[in-house]
Amino acid sequence: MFRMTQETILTVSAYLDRINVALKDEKSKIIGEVCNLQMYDGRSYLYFSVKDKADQSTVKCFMWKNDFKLSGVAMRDGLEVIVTAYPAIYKPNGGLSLQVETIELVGEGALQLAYEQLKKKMEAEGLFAESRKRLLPDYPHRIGIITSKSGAVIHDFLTNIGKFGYEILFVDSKVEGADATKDLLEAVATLRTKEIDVLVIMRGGGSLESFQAFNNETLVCAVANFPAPVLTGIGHDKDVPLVSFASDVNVSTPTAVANLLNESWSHALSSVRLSEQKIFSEFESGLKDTQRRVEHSHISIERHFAEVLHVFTNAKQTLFVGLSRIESQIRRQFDGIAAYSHGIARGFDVLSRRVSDTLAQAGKSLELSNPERQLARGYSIVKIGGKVVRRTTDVRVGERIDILVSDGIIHSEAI
Amino acid sequence: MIKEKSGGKTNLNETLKKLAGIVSWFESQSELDVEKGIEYVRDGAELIKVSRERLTEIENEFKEIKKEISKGE
Repeated sequence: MFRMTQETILTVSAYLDRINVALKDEKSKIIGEVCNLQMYDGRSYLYFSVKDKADQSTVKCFMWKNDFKLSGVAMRDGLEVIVTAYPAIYKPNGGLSLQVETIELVGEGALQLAYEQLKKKMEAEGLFAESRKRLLPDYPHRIGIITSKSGAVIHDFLTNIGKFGYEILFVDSKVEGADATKDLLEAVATLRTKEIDVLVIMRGGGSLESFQAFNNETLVCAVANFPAPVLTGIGHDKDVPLVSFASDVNVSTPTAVANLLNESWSHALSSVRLSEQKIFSEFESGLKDTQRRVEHSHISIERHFAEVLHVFTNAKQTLFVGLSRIESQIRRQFDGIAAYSHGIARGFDVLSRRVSDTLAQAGKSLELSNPERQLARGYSIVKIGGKVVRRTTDVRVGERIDILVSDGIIHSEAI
Repeated sequence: MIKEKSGGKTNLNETLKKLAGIVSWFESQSELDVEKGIEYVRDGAELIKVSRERLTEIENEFKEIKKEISKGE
């Protein structure tokens, strides 16, 4: 409270301002029943009163509608609530009222009822529909994380997230209590402006009451409409927080969140290792196969070469046989030519001899028939003027007659 | 001069055929035509000469080829 001084004289307005500043420090959580609820469309605020159940003590309350919406409490007269508020004097009429920041339901039963009602409403709106769910991208790189920087959750997450080159955009937020909703909404709004592959919202387990922020309608809508897929890891016992229903993928622990984010990377890594093994194995197999083929080819080439060699040897032998034949033929032809030569010589010799024999025979015949040969025997040949006298009439008296005898001619005269 | 040439060379087959013809003539000859006979003797002597020359050429060529083939063994 402020100290009073004698010199200071204040206007009413200034004094009330001073009072109101001081009253802000009196922020408290006050429990009571809602009464005289006045909430109108078109107004950015609402009025209500909270009344002490025991002695009916009442205090008026003022609340901005934005804050009211963030509280997510379905207000009605008679509802028991806890308001977080500070007192303030309304200057136009000097009335005291509570400036309410948040409203919370009181008791498991009420919380349960509110939870069920909101869940039903949101289901009806289709916010939890499977058809809305988006798949987490493979190989997420930029990851937005909303959780409290203190506590085991972030520790567990960081312990289990793999070393896959993630870029983590961490936004610290309260995850419990009346202020958590506002914090969480601001964190979501912050990450909405960033280019991230996936948004992660995490907190540890707790009672339904401690989860109130995650059952807030505004937060649920913000998560459902977040541009990137949302992964929640919010621990719970019985009732799943509504934010978890609205997220695209929900797991219950930060370790599970980390494992899910690691999944595609781990698969890729396994796939790479498998492919590596496969490549080496197939290469090795191919190498062996090639070696076998080379060896086989070597044998095959040797065999074919032997066949070729055989053919060549045969060809050579055939050639030599051919050569031998040619050689023989040449010899034969030389002999043939010699034979022709002898033949011609012999033929001509025979021919000559036959001619000689014929001539000799002819000579002999001629000799045998030579009339002069008879002269030796005493015969004579009479010729007149060189002509042989065959008859007496061939001779006239007085003609000169030549008488041929063996040793000469007797010249005489016909008488 | 009687020469049976093929591409400038004596055709041995032709000359040998002619020689065979001449020999055959002498073997079948019944008439005593020495004039024709001496003519054939002249032709035959010429054919024998060119045939021997050609055959010697062939033989030498053959020997060369044979020597080449033997080198490769």
